[in-house]
Order: sequence, then structure tokens, then C-alpha cells
Amino acid sequence: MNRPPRVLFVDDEPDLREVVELSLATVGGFDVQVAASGAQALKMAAEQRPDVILLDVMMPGMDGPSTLARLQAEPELASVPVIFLTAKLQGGEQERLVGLGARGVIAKPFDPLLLPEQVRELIQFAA
Amino acid sequence: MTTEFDPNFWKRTSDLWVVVGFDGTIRQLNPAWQEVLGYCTEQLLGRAYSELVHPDDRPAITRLAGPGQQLSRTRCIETRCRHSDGSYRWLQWSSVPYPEEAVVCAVARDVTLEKAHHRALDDMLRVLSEAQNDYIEGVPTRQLFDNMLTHLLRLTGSEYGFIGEVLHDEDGPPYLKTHAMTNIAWNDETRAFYEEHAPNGLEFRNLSTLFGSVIRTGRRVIANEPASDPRRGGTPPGHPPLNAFMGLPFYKGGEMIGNVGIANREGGYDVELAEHLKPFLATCANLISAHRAERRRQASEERYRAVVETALDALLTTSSDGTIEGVNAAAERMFAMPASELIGRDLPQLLRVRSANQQGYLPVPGRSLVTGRRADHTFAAEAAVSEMQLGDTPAYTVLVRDLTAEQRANRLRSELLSTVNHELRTPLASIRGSLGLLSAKAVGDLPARADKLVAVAVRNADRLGRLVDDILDLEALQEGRLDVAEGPLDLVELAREALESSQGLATSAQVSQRLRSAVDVLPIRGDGDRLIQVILNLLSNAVKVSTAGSEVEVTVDLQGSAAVLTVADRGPGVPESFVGRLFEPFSQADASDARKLSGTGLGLSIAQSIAHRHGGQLQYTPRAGGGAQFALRLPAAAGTSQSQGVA
Repeated sequence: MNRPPRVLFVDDEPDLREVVELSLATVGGFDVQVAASGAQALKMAAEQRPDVILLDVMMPGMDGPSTLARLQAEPELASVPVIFLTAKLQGGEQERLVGLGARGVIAKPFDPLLLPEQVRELIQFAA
Repeated sequence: MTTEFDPNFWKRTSDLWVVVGFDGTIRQLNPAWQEVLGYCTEQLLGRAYSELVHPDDRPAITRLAGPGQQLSRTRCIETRCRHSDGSYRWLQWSSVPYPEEAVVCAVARDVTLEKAHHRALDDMLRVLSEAQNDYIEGVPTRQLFDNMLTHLLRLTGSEYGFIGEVLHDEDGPPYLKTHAMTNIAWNDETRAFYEEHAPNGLEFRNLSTLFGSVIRTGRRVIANEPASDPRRGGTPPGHPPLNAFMGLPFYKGGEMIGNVGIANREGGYDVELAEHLKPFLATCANLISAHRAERRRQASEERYRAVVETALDALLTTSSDGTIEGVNAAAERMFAMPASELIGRDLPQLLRVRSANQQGYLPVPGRSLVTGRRADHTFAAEAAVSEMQLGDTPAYTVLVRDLTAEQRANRLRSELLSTVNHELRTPLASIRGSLGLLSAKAVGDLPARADKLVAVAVRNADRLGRLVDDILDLEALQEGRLDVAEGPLDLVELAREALESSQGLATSAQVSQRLRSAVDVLPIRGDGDRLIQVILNLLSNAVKVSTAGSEVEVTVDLQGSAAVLTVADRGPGVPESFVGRLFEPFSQADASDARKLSGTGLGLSIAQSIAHRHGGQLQYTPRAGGGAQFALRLPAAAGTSQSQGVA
């Protein structure tokens, strides 16, 4: 992969979008796109064809799992790895999300210096 | 023949002797006739003896002697004979005919007093029998005592009186409460007072009176001159005259439970009458005793009924086939149906076992979760059934608790925690992320003082993050919702991993860590991540309280069937007064500890909960030579024995 990996980050929190964008772009050297909702993410994913989608679980309207299901239903997007970012990791939540077809789960709050590395590992693991 | 009597006996006997001709005329008689009936011999000789007999009794006496009678020996014929003063005396006759002389020889005895006595006894027995009958037929107590009082006045020829119960205020003097009392009201005021209070009984508390004397002394009072009797209390103006009084106590089981008072018998009262009334008093005692038992039973029943009726849970009683036989008010509310509609229904129409695939719910002793059915919807409930025996028939009480509110509260609590979790972590992620990027100079260098401030902010954001984690962990542990995996583990290996993780903290605090294990391997079962969390918590506490240059020592050992890991430090130890609260949430020995040691005050509480979830526990002991020692005791895996474990 010569060009930097293209990542689409989806979260309804503007502050967090800014932090994650900064972390992934500045620390990790990713090509970062951000979306504020599941619907916007579907549209942008179809246009941009990201290498990985980092998806918030709890969002108003279409939540993370619903967005994942819609992505999986699109033949061109079904193979794009999805990593969930979630504040809730108790009660078997991680297993549930992986069971839906996610490549991995990263807990909030996260260390912005380590986040790019975590994402990179999960993509490589998937590859 | 008649002249053959011993003349002395003939003259002196108190029996009446008479010789009557077959024609019915008196031929001969002894002096007792004058003594008993007031006639001298001359007045009666030659007269028809039947003239002396009460007209009603003449048919009986003709058997004694009379024209044309087939005479035979007779005995114990009772007739009334007229006294010379016009009154009648009862005589009891026996006779023997002497046909050869055409006479009847008869002897009579005066039984007037005996007859009166028998009549009084018969009267008393009738009264008691009537009272017994009233009681058996369930005549109301007040009516029953009213009847008793009416009889008492008649039996004793009294004008007025009362029957009362002796009661006590708590620790107070006794007083009298009437169950029946003659209405002797003498003006409008006393009439109104009587009408208002008599139905529930009048209370008399002044014991400086004639009846009070009965209560005070427990003995009968006979006062035939009450006006001058020192025990009298006086009567209010207008009170009917009191000419004579008798008060009699009655007892049950040695306790004076009441007394009767009667007044104004002509000729006054005497001990004989008092003795005669003993059966009456015993009956009064029995009735009051029964009345007291009934009052206690009613009070107990009322209390029981109030408990049942005010209970928040529905209470149903059913037969063994589940037919509802009784319900309380809560059941009516719960199933939105009046008792009249609930009774007779089958319990399975209202309750259904939630887990099992059953058509309904038949009473089975024990607790179970059920679904209740109301007209328009169903609701979650818990049913507790207990069996009882009514005679030979088994029956059931079913206590039903509506769980709707409880479930709603649990759901709200769960939702709240989930929201708090998300709403705290999301901004924390932004804060921690921003600070991390700043401190890593991802956006360029900061002035030196700003660097320091960013470091402070990072530390505190991390602490806030741990606090959120701990609160959620503790909540989940206490609710039993925290997942604890179950797998084979080695406690020695867990100790090594934990030590490795805390090495960074120890190094920066200049504290050394050492592991001493009596065994190479110590198999246990449980959740490795959670147990490392426990050991790490103990280690980080130990490191935080240790001074630079000191050592934190970890030991692992098999003690009996317990796998034991200890973490010991040379810090200040736990103050004795705080040891009891050591494992309570948010407890720290010193309020400043949380800030000084950057702990949340939840770590030990969580660690203890995790230990409990593994069937083990966390214990604290002061360390010999100073410092603290915490021991994590867990069940060793099955098959591990002391001899096998020790290296």
C-alpha cells in the first residue's frame, strides 16, 4: 500500500471527530475522512471507498450496528473492514459487535497516540 | 285402735296425726294441729277434713278418706291446708285405712319451707338454663345480661340493680363497667346520660361507695341501713331512695372479674340469699369470661384482617384444585375484579408460570415467577404458595407480588447507568485525546509551563476514566451482571503477569517488587483478567504507600484447600479503627488519600467482589514489623493437595 491508508471515521460528537482526525492524520499519517451520522457514512463510503471504517456504536438515528448492516448489504462495500469505537465494553459487548462482523472494537476513552497503531494492527490482522 | 297410741308421743310429736271416719269427718287429732295450723282440737272434731284443704288439692285428698272410696294405704300426698289465719301451709300426708273400724289413720308433716326452697331452686335452675340457652343461641351479650338482671331482680325481689365487669386501666385502679343496669334515671339529664352510655356500658370509678367496697375488698357487702353505713358514698340529689343494698363479687380462676349489685329488697338482704345466688354468680363469671375470650378473639381477628386487608401484596386462598376461595383487597386491585367475581374462579385463569410451557398455574408450595392476567393486559409477578390443612382438606394460600414497578425501576437504573457510561466516556475521550495530542506535541511545542498544566490535566482525565470504570464495574458486580469467565489458571503465573504490569509504577516510585512462591504451579479456576485486576489493585496500593527504597513482597502458597496470594508492604498500615470498613465502597482511611494516592476508593471493594465471585475472599492483616498485608484466598482447583503443591 503506497498511498496512506484511507480511513472514514463516523461519530455524532464533533469534538471527538476533531480529536480522532488529528490523531489518525497527524500521529498516524492516515488519509482521514469524517462523517457525523450513519447515513452520511454510507454516502461517503460509496464515494470515497475507504480502506477501513471506524464506526461509533451509539449514534442517534442509524446507530453503528445498523450502519454496519447497511454497509454489508452493499456488494462494493461489504468487504471494507469496520472497527467499532464504543464507550460500552461490558456484558459481552465486544463479542456481540465482533459477532456482527466487525474487525475489532476499540474502547473509549482511547489514547490518541496509540489509536493509529491499534487501527493499523486491526487492518493488518484482517488482511 | 286409736287409743292405743302412746299418749306422750301423741302429744309431743310435731307431726300432725288425725283419725278420719270413712264419712270424711275428723274423729280424733293431736295437739300439733294447733301448733302448725292454729286450730284447737274442739274446733275441728266432727268437721269434714276436706274443708281444711285448698280447693285445688281436694281431688288428691279424697283418696285419703271419703264416702264410697276404695281405700288403700297412701303415702306422700302433698296438699295445701288452710291455717286459722287464712294462709295455707303445705302438708305431706301418709295414711292407712282401718276398714274394721271404718276409719283412716293419717299423719302429715309441714313441708311449707321445703316447698319454698325447692321452688326457689327450680326458679334458679330455670334462670340459669335460660341464660345457657341465650348464650348457645348467640343472643347478643348486652341482651343476655339484661335478661340475667331482670331475673336477678325477680329472684331477689329487688327494685333495681346492675351486673358489671371489673376492669383495670393499665397500671391503674380497678373500675366497674356495667353489662346491664336498671334504668333509674330521675331527670332529663340522667335519662340522656343513660341512653347514650348504657348500650356500651357505664363506667363507675368512685370506689368509696358500697359497690366500690365490693371491688376494693373482694367480699360481699350487705347494707340494710345504707344511710348510716360507713362504706356508703352517698347518692346524688334526685336518686331513687336506697333502702337496702347487697353487692356480691364473682370470681373466675381466682380473679374477681365482676360483681352484681341489687337494691331495695323488702326486708333487706341476708347471707342466706347471698348463698342462694352462688350458682347465679358462677354463671355471670362464666359469661363474662366467655365475653372476654370473645373480645380477645375479635381483636385478634380484627388485627389479622387489617394486616391482610392493608397488605400491598395480593393474598388468595384456594382449594387443592386451585379454586379461589378467598381474596384480600390487594387481590381485587391487582386483578381488577371484585371479590365476588374472583371467588370461585380457577387460579390458572389469573396466573401462568412464566418459564414453563404450562397452561396455567396450579398451587405448588414455594416461590415462582408468574405472569398475572388482568382484563386488558398481563404483568410480571412473583407467587409464594404455602400449604395449609383445614381439617382433613389441604388448602393453599397464594401471595402474589406485582413486579411491574420493580422491573421498571431495574430497567430505568440499567438505562441510566448505560447513559451515564456513554455520556461520561464520550467527552472523556475527547478530553483525553486532545490532551494526549497536546502532550505528544502532535500540534507543535508548548511553553514549558503549559506542558506542566497539560500533564496535570492528563493525570486527572485518566483518574476520571478509572472512576467511571470502577463505578460501572462495582455496579455490575453487585448486581451479579459482571461476566466472570471460568477457566483453568495458574495463580503463580497470574502473580508474575501482575508484577510485570505494575513494574512501571514500582520503578517510578523507586520501590522493588519480589515474588516468593512455595510452589511452581498453583492451579485454580476463574477469570484471569479479573484476578489480575485484583492482584494489580493490591500491588498498586502497596507501591503507592511504600517509601522509596522499600520492597513490596508477593507470596503464593497452598494452604489446605486454599490457594493464597499475599501482597505485603512496609507502609504505614491500615489504622485499626478503619479495618472494619476497608472493603466498603468509597472508603478511604483519610479523606485526602484519594487525592494523594490518586485512587477512587472503589478498588478494594471491587477486588473483594471479584474474590467473592470466585468463591474466595480478600483479607487484611497488619504485617509483623509494620506495614500492611492483604491475602487473596481462592479455592484451589480440584485434585490439588498440599503435598502435591509444595515445591
